[in-house]
Amino acid sequence: MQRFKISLIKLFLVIVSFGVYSQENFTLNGYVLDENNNESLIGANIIIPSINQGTITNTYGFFSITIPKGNYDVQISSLGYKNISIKIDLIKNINSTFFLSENVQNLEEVIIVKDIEEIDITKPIMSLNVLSNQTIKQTPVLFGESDVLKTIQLLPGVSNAGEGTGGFNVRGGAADQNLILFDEAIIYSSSHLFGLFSIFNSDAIKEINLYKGGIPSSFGGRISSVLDVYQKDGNSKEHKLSGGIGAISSRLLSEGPVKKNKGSYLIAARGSYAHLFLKFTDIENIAYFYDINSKINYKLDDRNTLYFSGYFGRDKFKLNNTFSNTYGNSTFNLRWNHLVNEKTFSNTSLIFSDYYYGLTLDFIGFNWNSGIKNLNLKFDLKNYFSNKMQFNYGLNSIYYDFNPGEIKPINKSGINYKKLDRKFALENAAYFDVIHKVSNKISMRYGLRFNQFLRFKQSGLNRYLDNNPVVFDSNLGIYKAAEILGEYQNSSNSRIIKSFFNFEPRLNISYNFNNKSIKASYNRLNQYIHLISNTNAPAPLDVWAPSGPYLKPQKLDQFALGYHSLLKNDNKIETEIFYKKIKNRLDYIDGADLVANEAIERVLLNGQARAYGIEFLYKKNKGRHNFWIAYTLSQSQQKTIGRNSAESGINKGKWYSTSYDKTHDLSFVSNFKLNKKLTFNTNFIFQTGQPTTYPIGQYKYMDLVVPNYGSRNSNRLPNYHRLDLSLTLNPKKNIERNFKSEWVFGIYNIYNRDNANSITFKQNEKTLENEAVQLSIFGIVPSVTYNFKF
Amino acid sequence: MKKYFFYIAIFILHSCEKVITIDSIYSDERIVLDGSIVKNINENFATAIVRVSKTVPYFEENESEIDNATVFIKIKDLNIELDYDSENKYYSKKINYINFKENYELHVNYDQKKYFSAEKLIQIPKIDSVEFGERKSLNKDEVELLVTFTDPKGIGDFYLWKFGPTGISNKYEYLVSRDLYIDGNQFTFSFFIDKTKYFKKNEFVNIELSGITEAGFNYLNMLTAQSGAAKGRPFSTASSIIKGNIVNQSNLEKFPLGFFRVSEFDYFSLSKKDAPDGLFD
Repeated sequence: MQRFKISLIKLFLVIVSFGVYSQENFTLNGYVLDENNNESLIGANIIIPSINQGTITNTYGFFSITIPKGNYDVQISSLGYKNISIKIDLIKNINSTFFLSENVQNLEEVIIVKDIEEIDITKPIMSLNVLSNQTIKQTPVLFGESDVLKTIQLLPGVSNAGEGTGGFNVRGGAADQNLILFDEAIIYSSSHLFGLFSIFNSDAIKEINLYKGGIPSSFGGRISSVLDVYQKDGNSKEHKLSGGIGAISSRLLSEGPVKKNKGSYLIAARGSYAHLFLKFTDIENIAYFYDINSKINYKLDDRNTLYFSGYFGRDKFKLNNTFSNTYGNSTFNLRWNHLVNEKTFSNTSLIFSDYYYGLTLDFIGFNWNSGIKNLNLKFDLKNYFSNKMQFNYGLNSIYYDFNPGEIKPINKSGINYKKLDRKFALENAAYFDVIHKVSNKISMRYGLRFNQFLRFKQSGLNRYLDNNPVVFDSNLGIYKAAEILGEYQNSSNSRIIKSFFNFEPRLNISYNFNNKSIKASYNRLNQYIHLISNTNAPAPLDVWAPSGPYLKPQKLDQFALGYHSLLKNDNKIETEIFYKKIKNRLDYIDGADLVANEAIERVLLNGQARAYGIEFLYKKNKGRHNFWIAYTLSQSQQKTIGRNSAESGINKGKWYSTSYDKTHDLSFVSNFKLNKKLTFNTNFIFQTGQPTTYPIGQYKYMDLVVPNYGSRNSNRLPNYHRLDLSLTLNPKKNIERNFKSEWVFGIYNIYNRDNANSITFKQNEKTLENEAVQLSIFGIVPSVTYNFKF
Repeated sequence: MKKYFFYIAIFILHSCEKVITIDSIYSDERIVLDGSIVKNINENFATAIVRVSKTVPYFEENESEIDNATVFIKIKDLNIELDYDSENKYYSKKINYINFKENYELHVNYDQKKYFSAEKLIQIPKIDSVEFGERKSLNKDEVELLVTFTDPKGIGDFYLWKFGPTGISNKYEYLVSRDLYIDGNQFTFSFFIDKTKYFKKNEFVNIELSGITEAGFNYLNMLTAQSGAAKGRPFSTASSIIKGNIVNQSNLEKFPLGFFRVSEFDYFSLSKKDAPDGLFD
């Protein structure tokens, strides 16, 4: 291990020292910004056609390219912006900032909309979807509230467990397996109001990147996907105010320079109206959410920029003097961008994230709170070594503090004060990542990530016979919690009671020919923290738990193969096949009670999971009519076999469908610009119904009628489908004046389909007959939203 | 706790429910044993009641009682055979020998199979009081009952609460609870009960407390959830067959459904007359 560390440092040094050998080459570097507001542009192309070289800007809008001395035409482009071409006489290193102006359309001119972005077909990246703020805003959604999480579910391979449930599932993975980053801060719960809205205010978002596979080694910690959300920096040229008034919530965003062209701020607030949902009862009650986004950036000099961003969001429910409930995320983040030299860009971040859940049940007499906090230190270095090779490397350290729950009596109730023991852990990682243009036809991206997870000593950790917290009663054929023998003893006196160390190889290859490419990728990922939840979708009170002596890290291997093709009319086809295999997927013994459980390991078993499928995406990005069609055929399953031949396992040890398995998933998203005033948007979605379990009989116990259920998830809900429409109206007078406004009229589920959210089997209280009752959440929902900007 | 949370969750989502038709699948027929020995906390004898039935298709009438089984309770070397009561369709017998030491064994022989279970008598505290409360729930028809009892210290206790009118009826409501956070305390909790269904005229409502084992707590938790008595749909867990504590000695795989419990019980009755003025207007 020690030797390994040293060789890692050597490797580091070698890579850095590579940078200083060539004499004939010079470096062109700098930033690409939006001319209107100095907002940095992510993924803008810098191309030098005469020598067939190019690069793209990073997530801070920075680029660097090293080429032989000479005179060049440099073309800079980004979708949604006018291309520019600049002559450069490269006789020394050049640092420059380039400005692009938005492609404001003149009459019937062809409109380029930044849709699902062009991921350059030749790049060694696959299974990545990029959505701009504009695409998210154009997609019709429930109540007219544009939403990041709802929009990504229209992409191939992404779905969720149904309306009114939080989270999302990527390629048959669980919702807790997504790494959700908001300006690099880890988000633990992505939904407001039980999944009605995401926690992201789309006004404040610049762009999102969703990695479904081929995940670069700079990311780690979750095994299914990475949703990387970037906030806008704020306008550093002039003060602007924008906002919107919707059926459910209102938004207001203010941005402007802190010091002109040097720094800017952005603050956005959003809130739903209180009492909104519960009007139809005369009992005093409250249900609402709010969130605040803020960001400040300041350019210290040409080489150094500081960023501060923060998020605070809460959901609140209160029912007169009976019940009140508050939960949400908060994050704070300080980043320092530093240009080490012409070719080396560094970023250092210090990030704090917190998820809090609080509940007061007055009629039982207690306050409850639980949550997770982490402090995250990150250092990333990008070295634009040559026009063939780029090196990225970095270090990351995350300290976790888990609060599984604390109960406090109120009103002198008979509840005893109790604090479940807090858990602490440290996750360290080091990575390197190489983007390598091997030849004109072959590009590769490869890297390694080293992970270490240290679980710290704590009180309240139990010891069991043979280290087995769950035992099997072979007589009755059931799993049950093992007897606690005492405190857990670790062999040494160290503060660390359990450590894990893992290598994660990552590989992407792209072979290109005639505007087509064949891509392949492999990645291994480990996940050390787990959401303890045995419901169909994550619930706000679910707690996170770290790996340790009893919980093993989840381990994933994913292989993907893709064929991407750019057609003559600039439309694009992407087809990908994926196969995922997961070890140590948690499963729960029957009847597991997870709420306020002190020794969660006593109800958990380690199982496995697998998912495979084929994804298809056809998209048209240019012209007045843009659209995409996404189709996924896939299967997602899990199984938990007995630990020895005497045990039955879960579901008799057989594979069963996960609750988010959807065989067919089709979406059609279209955006049609009728004229300068009117834009017409459409979504159509068709999905196989979710797995569920129907009874295979019934019986009576006491006087309850009990359905007798067969093997898990062996039936399906009816198919899900719906059509949404929206119309955006931009009044003509907008063009001349400073105050700009628009109206968005939307209809969700236009043909009012009763989509099944669940089917419950129960006895009718009046007729005493058994019934299957289908619960549908949203029928047709019209909405109007008014947006403004000045 | 979770239940109340769910309740709110459903309420805010303008949900719509409709009854749909599903083709019923019937398979895996099993014997169902609903066995109990219960002893009033104030008496010195107990009553054994065992219902023997089998599973039937879900959308059919549930009349499947079996009257030709042999049912007996074994206490040490004493075999007490239960008599079939054709009116109530169960096997029963008064048990005079009841204490906290003995193992009470349930034996059922039917169709050449032997079913077996064994439990000990569970001691319970008395209910201190039940009163009407003034809190309101989201359902306007519900009234609050404040139930007070004193949990004995040190023992991990699990309770089964039964709410409903006196006499034979289909309208009981059940609640299972544990003393995890109230160990050794006097404790009052609320139970919301529909006043349009209960407390008709001068009808009494009984609040009955009995004890269960930890396995019984897990069993009844699942059972009440899956019978539709619990309200947690959007965040529901996967439904599956519920295994109890009775073994098919002739074939372990083909275990019977149901549970055998042995406990003391106490109850408290109240009627509309006990309510503060205006609660039933």
